Order: sequence, then C-alpha cells, then structure tokens
Amino acid sequence: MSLLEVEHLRIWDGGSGAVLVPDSSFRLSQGECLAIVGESGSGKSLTCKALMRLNRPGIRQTGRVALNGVDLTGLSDKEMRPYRGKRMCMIMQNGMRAFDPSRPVGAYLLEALSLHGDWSPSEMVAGLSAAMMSVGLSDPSAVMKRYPHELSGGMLQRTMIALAIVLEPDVIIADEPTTALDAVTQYEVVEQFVALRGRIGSAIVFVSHDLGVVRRIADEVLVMKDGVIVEQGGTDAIFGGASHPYTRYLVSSKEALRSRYLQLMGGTRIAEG
Amino acid sequence: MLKVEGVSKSYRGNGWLGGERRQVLRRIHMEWNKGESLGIIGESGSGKSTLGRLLLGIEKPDEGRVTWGGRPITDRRARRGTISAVFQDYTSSIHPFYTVRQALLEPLKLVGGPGDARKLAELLRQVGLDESYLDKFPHELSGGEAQRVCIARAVSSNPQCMLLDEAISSLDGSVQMQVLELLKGLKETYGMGYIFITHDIMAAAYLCDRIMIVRNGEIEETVETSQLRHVKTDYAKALLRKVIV
Repeated sequence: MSLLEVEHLRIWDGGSGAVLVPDSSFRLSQGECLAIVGESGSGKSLTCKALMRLNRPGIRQTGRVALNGVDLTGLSDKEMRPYRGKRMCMIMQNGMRAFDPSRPVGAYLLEALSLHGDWSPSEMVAGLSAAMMSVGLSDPSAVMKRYPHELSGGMLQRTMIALAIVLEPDVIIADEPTTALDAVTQYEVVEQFVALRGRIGSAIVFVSHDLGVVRRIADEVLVMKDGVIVEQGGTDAIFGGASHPYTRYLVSSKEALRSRYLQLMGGTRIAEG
Repeated sequence: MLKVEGVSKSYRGNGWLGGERRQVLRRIHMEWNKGESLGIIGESGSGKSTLGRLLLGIEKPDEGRVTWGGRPITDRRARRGTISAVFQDYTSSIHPFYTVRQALLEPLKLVGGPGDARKLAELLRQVGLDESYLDKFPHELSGGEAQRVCIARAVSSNPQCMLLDEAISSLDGSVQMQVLELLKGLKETYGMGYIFITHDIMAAAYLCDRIMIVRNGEIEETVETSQLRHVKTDYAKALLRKVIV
C-alpha cells in the first residue's frame, strides 16, 4: 500500500463552477520524493493544498486523498487537526508569510510543537536547537528570539525545515520552497532538502517550476498543464526521454541556458550528483 | 560611456530598531561601454539593486560620482534617452488604469518622439506582440506579456542602454527564455546594450559579454563571460559551483 494515495481528485471553484483540476490520481511511497512541475496556473499549488484540505472555502474538491489508508476527505476539521502539521507538514514559498509576524519565531515554533506532541518545554527547545544546527543555523537561540522580518528568506525556510525535522511528519509538502530565494541560498536550501530525505523517512511532495532543482531532488516527476497531469514518470525518464510534447517543451525550454553554461564552465557538471 | 567612480552608499536603519547606518556600497569603480551587455550578479543584500538605482540616477551616492559621457547621471537632461529600466515586478510597473497604448505613449511624450499608431505597432512588434494589445489593461496580460510591454516601453525612447533589475526572475522558465531571446534579438538587431542585474547566473552567462560579481557592497571580481571558468577569487568559484544546472 502506498503512503499517500490520491484518486480522482477534482477541484473546482464553487462560485463560478469553473473546473480547475478535473481528475488527478497519483501515489507516493514512504521516503519517496515526488515533484510536481508545471507553469504558473497549472494547478500545482491547488493540488498541494487539496491534500491537506487547505484551499480557501470557495474552492471545492471531491475524490479520495488517503494517508496510510485513512481517507482524509471524510474527516471533520477536528479529526483533520493532527494530520495538518504533525502527519503532513507544509513548507511554503514565502517564509515571511508562513510565520506569525507579531511574535518571535521561537514562540511560534514552540506553540506548533506543543500542539503536535507531548514534549516538555526543555525537550522542545533542545530538539529544535539540534534540528536548527543541523540545517546550518549556527545560533538557534538567537534565531528563536528574532521576529520573522528580522530573518532572511533563506533562514526562515531553514527554520521551517528544522521544524519538520522535529515533527517527523509522514509527508512533507513543499510548495515552491526555493523560488523566492537567490541562487546561492536556493542551492543551500535544496541541499538541506536532500539531507532531510536521508535523515527522516518522510516522503516529500516537492512543487517547483525550476527543473534544475527537480532534477536534483526528485525520484518521480508529475507534469501538470492547465490542471491536468499530462505525464508522470521517473526523473531520469522525464528528463531523458519524455513522451508528452509539453514535458519535452518544459525540459527543452531552458536547455539552451544550461548547455551554454556547461560549455562556458568547461563541460563540468556542476552541482549535480 | 557610463562611469562609476568611487561610489559609496549607506542607508539609515529603518523602523524602531533602526538608527545605525548600513553601508550598502563601498567605493565602487566600474564602467559600462556602448553596446556592451554587462551582468551584475550577487546574492540578496549584496547591494546590486542599489548599484542599479545609482546607475539610473534615481538615487544619489553618498560619495563618488556616476557620469554618462562625462555628465552626472542625476542630471535629468543628461540622462534623457540614454538609459531606461525594466524591473522585476511587472504588475506594478504599469499604471493599472492605463492601457498598453497609454503606457507606451508616456515615455514617448517625454522624449518628444512620434506617438502615432505606426510607431506603437512597431514597438509592440519588436517585443513579439501586435496592435491587438494596445487597448488592453495590465491585468489582462500574462506575466510574460506585461514584461514585454515594459521592455517595449523601455525601448521606445531609443536608449543606448537598458538596465534590467531581476527582470526575468518572476517569470516561468519557458517565458524567461523567450524574454532572454527577445533581449538577445534586440542586441543583435539594434545594438542594444544591457546592464543585467540578477541572481540567476546562468541567465547572465547567456546574455552578457562581461560579468561583475558583487559581494557585501564591493566588486569581488569582473570577468569576461568567455573566461568565466577561470575566475580567480574563492568566493566567485564557490558562487559558480552553487549554480543548479
């Protein structure tokens, strides 16, 4: 049995009746990383949020989303609570908006932890500190005292990843987690995701329009266009020989950029491995 | 042509935590030559956008000077028709109540150029759009189309240099590529020169002849793009290694 099973997921706008995602099905196994790629408006984020039933009220969904065999779509909000955060953890594009701006980051993190586990305060601080050190935040107590606006985008994303390490969710849903970052920070955060996979056995749904990042991190790739999954396959197969013209178009679109860079750098395959 | 001599810039810290001045640029020396495509790359907070605003003359340096053909760039008359800008946020770059026509006419009026239908159609054609866009409002355009309109507007005053500050960063990968090809085409057809500010090293390497690496308000290294693999400083080497291809 797969860890996460999505069957015939249909998402539409309750107001206008417009169908946004007509019929999506996919599975995710334990420890696997599934990337969802596609251009703006292809329904990537809608799909992610639908997994946790976090789309805004006007957006309706039907279909089956099952985690370890439990269909989440039938649960009440109260029953859903432990699944949001503890079992399924979401890392958003904009770290600045993911945190409560009115409180220090540490207060927010401790509250999240106290809701999802029965750790003592000192255990929480110790666990968080260790996790933050492991993602390259060398002074955890200083970071925890800061307000979100005092931290850089890269630091906030690392803090989110640290929280995920402590919570050890079954599934981490990362929605464009590196898009708002500059190239260097992006590289470092991607490396943290790669390390995260080795450290905790969480499965990852990684949404991105950056195919370079996807190639680095994903096992499976799901290509979306206008709400429809047009192709799905192993990362090597998608990048090596996609069958759908849209996938080929996506993969080839930045190929000129990539080959020019590799040529300039003397053919060495940088940041790959 | 465009010359920066010993330029420094600092800002006062903001908000209730503020007070201390933050040095954003330190004694920068650089030059941009006619027809050249210069890439300015660096991490967030390295000072590259501040440098961009000083190059445009929309901010004044604390010390040093920025000149165009020997005249200070902050002088509006010296600046006219020389350099134009395209920024990252295409949604806020065009007045939301203006049609594409009005947005294109605005700079034309300033430089006193012809603003007839033929001129506008030609401008749109240069950026791969057509006359049917003239009466559209910004919200009716996709990101790539809006950024093309911004580029058309930047081209309209026949500048010698176009400064692009993260102009392709918020576009989809394939649209980024289309805009880069458009810029390349303008360079080949009209001899347009660029100052291309970005954190996207691959895009800079694709478009530019020369690349300047900025770090903590200073120029770490400047290198011909063809010599990119031979950068000297450790920082530049590490930066290039971190490109996710």
